[in-house]
Amino acid sequence: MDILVIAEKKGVANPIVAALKEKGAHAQYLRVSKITLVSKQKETLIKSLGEKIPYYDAVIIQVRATLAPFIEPLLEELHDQECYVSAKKGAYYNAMNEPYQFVTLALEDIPTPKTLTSGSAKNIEKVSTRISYPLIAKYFVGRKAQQEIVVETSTELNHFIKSIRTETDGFMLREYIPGDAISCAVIGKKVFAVKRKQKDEIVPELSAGETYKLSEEDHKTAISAAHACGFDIARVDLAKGRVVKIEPMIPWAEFDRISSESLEETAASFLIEKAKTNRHKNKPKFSFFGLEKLIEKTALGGRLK
Amino acid sequence: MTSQKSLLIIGSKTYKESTINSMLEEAKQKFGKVLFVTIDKIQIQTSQGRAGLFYKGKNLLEYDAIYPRISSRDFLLGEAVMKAIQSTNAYCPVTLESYQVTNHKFFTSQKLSTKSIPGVTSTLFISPRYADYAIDETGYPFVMKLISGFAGKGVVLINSKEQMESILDAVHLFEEFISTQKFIKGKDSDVRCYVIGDYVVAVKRKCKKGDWRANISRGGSAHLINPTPEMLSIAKGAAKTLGMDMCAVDLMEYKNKWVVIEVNFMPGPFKKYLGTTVIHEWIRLLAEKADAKKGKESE
Repeated sequence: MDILVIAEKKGVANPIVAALKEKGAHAQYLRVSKITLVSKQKETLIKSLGEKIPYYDAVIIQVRATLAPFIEPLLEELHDQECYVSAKKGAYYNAMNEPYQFVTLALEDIPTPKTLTSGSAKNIEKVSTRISYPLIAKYFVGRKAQQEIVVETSTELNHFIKSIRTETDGFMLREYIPGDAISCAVIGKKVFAVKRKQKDEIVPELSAGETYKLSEEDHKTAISAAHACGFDIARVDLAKGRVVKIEPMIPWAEFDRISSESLEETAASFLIEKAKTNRHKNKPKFSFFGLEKLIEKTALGGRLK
Repeated sequence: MTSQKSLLIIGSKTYKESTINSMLEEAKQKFGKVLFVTIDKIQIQTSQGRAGLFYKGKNLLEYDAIYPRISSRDFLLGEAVMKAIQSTNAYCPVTLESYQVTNHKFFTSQKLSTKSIPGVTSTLFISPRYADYAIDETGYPFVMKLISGFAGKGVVLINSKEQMESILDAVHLFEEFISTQKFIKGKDSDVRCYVIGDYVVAVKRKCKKGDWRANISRGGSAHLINPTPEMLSIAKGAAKTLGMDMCAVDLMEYKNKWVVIEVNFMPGPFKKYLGTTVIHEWIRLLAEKADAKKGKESE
């Protein structure tokens, strides 16, 4: 079984590669920056340092969402080759754009906080007196969120908008959900959860969290959210059972430090399973002047199956 | 005859007023209700199970036909708006995927190559450190495009390694993705095919003297031509592959064959040279599809 780990850094990829090898798979790491995509008449090639990369049964991609303009054409090609990939086509574009991600989650009936997005500061100022507080306000330049604050009143919100000195592409207001944050590493149907306890209204970093047992419903929500956005392997953050963030990259080392299980091992088992299924699916079919069809109809055909 | 069907045109933040005014004028003759709103004025509201688009309290997803004319500069709101539109029954001549793909030069070539639609050898890479591998595929001279480039402005013609190195240094600073395309030395013109449903309007564009790009926005000229069967087949095939009923496919002649250079999500109608020919056809198609949608609903 051949499995490829595409990442930005060796540190992220190596533990996954090691876990895969431990389980008997043939695994390789490929640094994303070494890849060149070449589109020629009738075909597109994925090359690494000038050489065409071979076919893999499964591929896991662990790079930042901001690389979406490169990853999406790569995903397109990997899926066209019919190898299993941990992200579906379009997943990275979705992860790169928060308003788009919230629309996707809402349409899939995933529990999320209410959001309001607009490109116009005037629009936000107009609605500021008609919405309930506190809420999270943020602004974007391109698809990147620049600043995020909690505002308690319309005066605070308008002050925040007026304080922005750069040209913006949009504003988002999101219902504020107080309390602890739950960060989940979703790997197939398994979810590892870490609770980040809120203290003095501040939610600490993941590394300061502790293991947490998710309710059945939250477990289901985390998996459905990742799938709705096109990921089998992803980080999903929850606040009181509602999805507030989905990222394609799992902070493996941080989760490993807190969790009693190795996430890489779980990912390796999951990828091997997917690779096995895919390998059978794509195995070249026996064909000899149509004889296979005749054999299939006989008792021997059934036994061969 | 004016019916009660409705049309919503969503414009880019930097829309061209004369184009929109002509579209609205034409649309008012075929639609009972027409609204134009720029994307930045739209409110996108989400809650579990619901995503809505609003403008001055009006629900924008209730229109029979919606034509988003948005550019790569509108991505933040554009993708969310397109996703919401796709969840409705409104007729929309373009898709979310076509918006993402046509605003990405390499992605467009890649998608077209899957259906053997003739294009130009292109590459995509991240790190300038490994640029040589990409250039091995195209050779010099080549055209370098930044992924967000549009209207010819983000395009540079590179003739030598020295030139390439100085440009790549600058590109790296901005964390851009780099796409290169083999340079095709065509004549001083190219052909733009406006695909409007099954209909194609073909236009020959001449570039400005001294410029290797034929974009009208850079000062070229244009006139209508009769498209050849080859042009028709390529243009319609490209639009179909990308899932678009309305777009413009730019073609260039290379080794006696036509190849696709670019597909435009939000083409200008070349009013200066073509009058309202293209606009008239756009509105005709939108009205026809809105009628069909209304007909289905009343069945």
